[in-house]
Amino acid sequence: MISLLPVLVGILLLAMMFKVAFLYQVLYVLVIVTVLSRLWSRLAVRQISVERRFEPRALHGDQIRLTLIVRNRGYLPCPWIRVHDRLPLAIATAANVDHVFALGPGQEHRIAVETVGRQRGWFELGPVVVESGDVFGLTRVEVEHFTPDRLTVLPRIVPVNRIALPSRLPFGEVRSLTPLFSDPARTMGTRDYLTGDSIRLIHWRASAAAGRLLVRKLEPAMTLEAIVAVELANDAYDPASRAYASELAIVTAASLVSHLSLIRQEVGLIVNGVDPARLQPNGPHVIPTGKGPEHRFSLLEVLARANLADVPVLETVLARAVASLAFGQTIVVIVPRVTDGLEARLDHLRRAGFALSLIAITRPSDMNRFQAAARSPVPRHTIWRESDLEYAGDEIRRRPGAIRAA
Amino acid sequence: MTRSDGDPERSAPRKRTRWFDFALPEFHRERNVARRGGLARAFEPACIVLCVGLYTQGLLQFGLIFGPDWRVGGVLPVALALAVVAHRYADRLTRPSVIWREWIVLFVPFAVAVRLTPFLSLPADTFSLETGQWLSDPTAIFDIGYLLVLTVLVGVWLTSFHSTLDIAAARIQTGEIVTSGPRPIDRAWDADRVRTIDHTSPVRRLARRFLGGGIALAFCASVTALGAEQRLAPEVVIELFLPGRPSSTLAYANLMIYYVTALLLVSYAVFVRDRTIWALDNTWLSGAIGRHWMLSACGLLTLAACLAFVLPTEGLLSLSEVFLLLFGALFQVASSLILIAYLIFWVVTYPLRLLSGSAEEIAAPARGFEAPPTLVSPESDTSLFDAARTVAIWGVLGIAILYSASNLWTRRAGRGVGSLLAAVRSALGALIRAIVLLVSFARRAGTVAMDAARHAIRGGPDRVACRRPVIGGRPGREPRQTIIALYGLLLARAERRGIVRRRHETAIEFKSVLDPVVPDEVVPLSDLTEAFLVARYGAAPVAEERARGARSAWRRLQSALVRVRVPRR
Repeated sequence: MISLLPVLVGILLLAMMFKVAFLYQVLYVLVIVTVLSRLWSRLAVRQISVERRFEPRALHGDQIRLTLIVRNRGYLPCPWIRVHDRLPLAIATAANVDHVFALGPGQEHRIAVETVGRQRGWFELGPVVVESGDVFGLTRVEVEHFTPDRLTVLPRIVPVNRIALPSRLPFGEVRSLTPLFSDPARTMGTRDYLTGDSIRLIHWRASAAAGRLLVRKLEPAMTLEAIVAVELANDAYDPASRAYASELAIVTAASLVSHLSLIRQEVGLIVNGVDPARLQPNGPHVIPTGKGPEHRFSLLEVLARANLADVPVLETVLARAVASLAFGQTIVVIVPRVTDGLEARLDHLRRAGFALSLIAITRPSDMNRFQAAARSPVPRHTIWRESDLEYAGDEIRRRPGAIRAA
Repeated sequence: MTRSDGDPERSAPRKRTRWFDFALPEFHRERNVARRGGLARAFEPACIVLCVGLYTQGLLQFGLIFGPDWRVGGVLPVALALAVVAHRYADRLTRPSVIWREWIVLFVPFAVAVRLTPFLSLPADTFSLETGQWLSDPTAIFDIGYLLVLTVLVGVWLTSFHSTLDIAAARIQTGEIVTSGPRPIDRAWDADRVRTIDHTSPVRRLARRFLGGGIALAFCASVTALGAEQRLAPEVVIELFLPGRPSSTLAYANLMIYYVTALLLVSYAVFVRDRTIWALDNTWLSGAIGRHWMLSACGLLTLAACLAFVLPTEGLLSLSEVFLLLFGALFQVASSLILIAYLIFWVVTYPLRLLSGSAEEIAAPARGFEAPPTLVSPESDTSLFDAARTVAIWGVLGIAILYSASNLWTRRAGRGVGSLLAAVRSALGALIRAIVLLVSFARRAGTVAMDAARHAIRGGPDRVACRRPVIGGRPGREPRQTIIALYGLLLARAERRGIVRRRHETAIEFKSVLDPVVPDEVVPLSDLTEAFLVARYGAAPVAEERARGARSAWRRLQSALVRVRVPRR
């Protein structure tokens, strides 16, 4: 902003012209001020360290507390330092993270910011811009601290209470509507013995108490080992509703994954969008089925990071992606629309022994057409609002072979 | 977070008067300076006054080199006092307004004082002797020494005035932070609009003024110190405030302290500017930042001064020889280039000269210089001329002093002497108004006489229209146009007083705005407004009587609008 160079040149010329010693001393003062100011500001800024403390994972809508600790590790005081943290727009707060303060040697300054995870995503925090300078306006030094900090805001999770998913795996923990797979460990009542009943089913204690032979009524059960496939190819979506529909697909997938995981079922994921955390971000990302909260969060993080991309549509990658799946697993396919190619692919998978469920992210005006166009026995749901997820199972609950997962 | 903003309270616009009106300057406080801490409130004027004082001292030292008999006794205290007054005066303004009457009122006492203070250190009979000379020949007042001192004082005034305004311009201006608005988008729009205020250029100007101006001071100090002993002694501090032939040590100390103070002032101005920028960016600002800032500046300057004392200066004087060698080398190179160019030209043009022979140009003899004829000065009555000149000079001086003194008395002191001076001032104003009236009457009479003479010579009918003051338009204009024109004059006059009729305001709404401004002329205002409504929007023909009524109403409103002080809407 201010330059002392013309003054220095003028004083130097005068000093050389008059050969007066004190002019050199005045010149020294100006030169020393110029040099020391620049050195001081540069050295002081280099000794500034920035540390960020926060929880790297947040649920959608959670309060996120970010703490920025600015330390002066050197021996020079900083007369002024301006710290500006650049937060992504999706998690930006009304309070500007812009502070000006002075830091003595060894001192630290804490900046605490609270924000809300308003949008799912994988956000890079920073860089933190540290600006300082001298007190005469001669120089300004700006250093960007690139901290490898990533904040993952998980997708919104909608309660899924009555969703119905089919399964062909018996003897699980999920109660089934189909009496084909009765679980001997789940007794739901007794009835009178009929000819032909297995002797193993006789409830001896109840029979002794009742004075006649009673057999146990067993609750049908299944293992709902499912894998959720989400379509995130740009070409698959209608351009007019691409952003909304893709986000709804993510929310649907996250809700299903979370629900299945909470009922202790193995669940996997297939995403064909872009995942910036992968070395090869484009292409299908297949996560095998697994259990437990860590596995659940890893799936949700993948869904938080996933975005639309110009990749092949899901039907072309589905066969290769499910090649390693076991027989009888349930595949939940979430797509914006059902094409003939997808119908053929699903029919092929069904015949290969997989249980299939199709969830279409479709406008309400297209729902009837979608339902009418259903020719294959694959159960299907239509969703256009998040509230549709809760009641998506009603339309197929009575369909033969469907098992209520609740 | 600390945010400072100028108080939005603003004064009314200044009253516009004619040049012969001896109205008091209003000294309006156009800005209530944002509250500053005690240190900041004292630091800024102290730095400005000290810089200006040191610069003045350097100039006086420089002048005493060439004129040891230059009377500069008491100039430095007067200059310091003038710098304080200029700072206090400029601190009230929002912009560098040049209000001559206020400047005269504030400057004349110092100009008079600086003419009299040298007599404090002179024998007593000197004052009586010189005042006698002044009475006989008033031009003796303005000798070269006094004119130079006046020039220095003007420089002191301008430097302190503009430096204060530059620092004020680096602060947040009134309305710059928009805190009210119907919607956030409106506030954002307003904020972006006012962000065009430049807070950096004033700081740059200030730095250029003091740091660049220090080069001239260094030149003066160098000339002052030539051939004198260079040393640093405690008596320098005493010599700093004593007039007389300076030593080189004094010049050195003067220059060194000047630059240190100027750098401190620049540091303060940069802090003010940065604080403004941070406040505009809605930045959280630590309360102790100002203290750390100024302590760092003082520490750095102290360290630089200490190092400057330690570093050698003797060996560096030979650097000039290096430059001389460099210039010598450049001169040699240039000479060689010129010689080479000449040789090339000689070789190229040799065949042409061989073909054309040795023709010689015959130059026409130059016409000799003829001296201009000597001027013959007409003989004049020198005694009458001298008397007129004396009266004129003393009249101007007396009026200026009386004007300034009466204004200061009426504002600062009691009413006793101030009322007397005000009466004298009113009498003088009436006298000048009468003179102006007589002159205009004579001019008008002369115009009429010339027209009559022209008519008598031509012998035809009088084709020259009589010039008479016409209110509201030309004679013969229709009453409707006259009334509309009169209303337009009313709007223009009101706008000059700061009351602008907005586009959405009807004439009746504007009348309700003007009513409290001219409470004694509500009836003429109603008449003129009603006449305007009839003339502007009525379909019926407008009678001549209504136009005459509008004229009389306008006359009363015209005089009433001159005196009012209107609050800003």
